Amino acid sequence: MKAKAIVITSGKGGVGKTTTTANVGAALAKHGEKVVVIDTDVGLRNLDVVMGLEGRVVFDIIDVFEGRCKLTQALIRDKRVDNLFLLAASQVRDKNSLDEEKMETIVKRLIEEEGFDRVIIDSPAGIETGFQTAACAAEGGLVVVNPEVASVRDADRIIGLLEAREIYEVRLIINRIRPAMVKRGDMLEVNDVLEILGIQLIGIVPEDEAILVSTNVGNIASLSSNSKASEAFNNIAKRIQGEEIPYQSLDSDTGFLAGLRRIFGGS
Amino acid sequence: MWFLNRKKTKDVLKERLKVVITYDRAKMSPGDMEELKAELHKVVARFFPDEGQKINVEIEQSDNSMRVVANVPNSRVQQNVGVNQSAKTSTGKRSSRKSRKK
Ligand SMILES: Nc1ncnc2c1ncn2[C@@H]1O[C@H](COP(=O)(O)OP(=O)(O)O)[C@@H](O)[C@H]1O
Ligand SMILES: [Mg+2]
Repeated sequence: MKAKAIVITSGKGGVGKTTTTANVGAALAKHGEKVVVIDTDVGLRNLDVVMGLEGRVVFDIIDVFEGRCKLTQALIRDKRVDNLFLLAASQVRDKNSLDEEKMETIVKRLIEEEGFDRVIIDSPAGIETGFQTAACAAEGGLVVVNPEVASVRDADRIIGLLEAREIYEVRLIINRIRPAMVKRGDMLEVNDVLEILGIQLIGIVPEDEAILVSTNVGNIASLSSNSKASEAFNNIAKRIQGEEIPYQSLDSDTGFLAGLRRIFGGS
Repeated sequence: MWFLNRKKTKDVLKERLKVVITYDRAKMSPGDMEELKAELHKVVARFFPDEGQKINVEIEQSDNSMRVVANVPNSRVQQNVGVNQSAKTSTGKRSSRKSRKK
């Protein structure tokens, strides 16, 4: 993807935006980029705990907005991988403290003055101020969707809102796929979702206990585990960087594989 | 065997999603959509007075456009009057999504 500033969004809550931000952000850093992940979920911050950095937050994004600290003072360096930083959301303030103009200035400075290759912006659920602020400075977007009705519908709405903001480099991540259910015909498969939403795919992440286990202890799966989900997040990072990575098989399910082959032009 | 006849639940879901998203993209409520169908039905029926109740107006979502299709059974020939609304007017900015797909 050409976009340096990428918003992670979904409309619906609980589909995996924060998980994706942490895992893809860390994987991008692991693959050589200087990355900052920004939490814009003011009042409900959790990117810091998902990344295991909660003990190190001193200043947050609202402190930067309101001039109580320098931008660089609010950047928390992750010690597990080079060149990964977190800019936390404020837990005590509300969405009214968000400001699109200031957000744009900060993202611009991170890229132009601080030399970040990638700014990954975790958006809150919904389509209101929080989402709009998260999206305002983005040049590209990753839409996270679960293969279920409310999530797909909300994703469609979000894709429309990103287009309205003239954000066109938008890719789809299908998260929490359960191969066994897909096989039984009880869960939408990848090509169903792509057919309905009509945007380009960049990743398929299976439902994976490793995500919960990693999050429990503040580890980031894409850095520390060899799970299927970890592999999927690393592949997404590589695809963002322009590598052509074939889609992994989630299990030996031939129906599922056949479905994938149908999408990616095989026979 | 029973499991061969069982309709996949995901196919049901897919159809429901397509309908819901058609309304969402058109920024129309299901009520407005029903009104549009009724109005169109009246207009088409005026030109095919003999067919009356047999005319059937349907809304479909196809790739990047919404289609309003009136099916008019005809004793001599089977006619199909398709009003293929341009996606620009029916789904606004969303229309070009498909073409943007690599
Ligand atoms: N691929 C996955 N497999 C298993 N659990 C997941 C997966 N993705 C997300 N989760 C879990 O789902 C919950 C919601 O994820 P989160 O990233 O906080 O969603 P959001 O930020 O969109 O609200 C979390 O408990 C997270 O650990
Ligand atoms: Mg979140």
